[in-house]
Amino acid sequence: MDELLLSKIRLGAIAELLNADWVTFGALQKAIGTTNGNLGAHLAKLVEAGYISEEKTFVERRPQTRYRLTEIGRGAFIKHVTEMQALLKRAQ
Amino acid sequence: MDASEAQDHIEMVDRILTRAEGPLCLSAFPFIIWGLAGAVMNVVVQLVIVQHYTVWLYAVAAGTLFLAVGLSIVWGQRLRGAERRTLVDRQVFYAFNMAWVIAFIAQIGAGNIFAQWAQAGLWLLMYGAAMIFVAILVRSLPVFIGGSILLAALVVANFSLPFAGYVLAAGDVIGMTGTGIVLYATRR
Repeated sequence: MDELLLSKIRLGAIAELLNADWVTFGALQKAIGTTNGNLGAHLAKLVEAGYISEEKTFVERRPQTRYRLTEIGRGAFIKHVTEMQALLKRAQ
Repeated sequence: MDASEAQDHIEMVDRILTRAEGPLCLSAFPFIIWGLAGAVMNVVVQLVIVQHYTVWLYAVAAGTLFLAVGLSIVWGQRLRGAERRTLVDRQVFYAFNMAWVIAFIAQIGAGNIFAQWAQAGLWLLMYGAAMIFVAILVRSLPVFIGGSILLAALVVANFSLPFAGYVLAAGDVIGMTGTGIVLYATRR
């Protein structure tokens, strides 16, 4: 299994991005329900691994950070979920 | 990771994906604005070509076009403040903008081929096709019916050339603006 996606917060963030073109940091925080610092640290790990990309922009003069899922991240997510499903099947 | 943890993670992923796949809310604004703008332009073309009113009416059409473009830009700027954009949002955005750009290029660059009513028909054809594509994409019956009305208006106009501009304008109002009103009335 993918070590990076064993964290529920990181897995949740990838799932949030799966059907999205982009999602802001604020929206991810609301959806996942964690603190700024905690989410920031998890997202930084995903960015570093190339699973998601980060884009900083300004909206009405306020900074906004948007995240997009990369092809590497999409592939890793699908593989990880498939492996979790296989684990569940074996356990049943 | 053990089985119960895997179960917990898969359930969370399911919840997130189910929420993301919920009914999509298309914005009513572009349908209303472009339906009305298209109708004004078709009525102007009818008055100039068939009823031989002054060509200065084209200034009204140009003004309407600029107003619609301006309002669309303002609307687009407001959307920039959104917290997320789905993949479907992006496809819908490209479908309508490509329809607009292709019709505009054909109108400006191929005026001899798309002469008179063909120019007006081209806009309905492109928007009708874009609406049907979007309707299938987001599974929206009102948008599918609206797109079909635009195409039906083309057929009806083809058999009523003396009133073609009015028929196409009616297609714009019923098919596009009507769809926008339905989307607005049923928004969540």
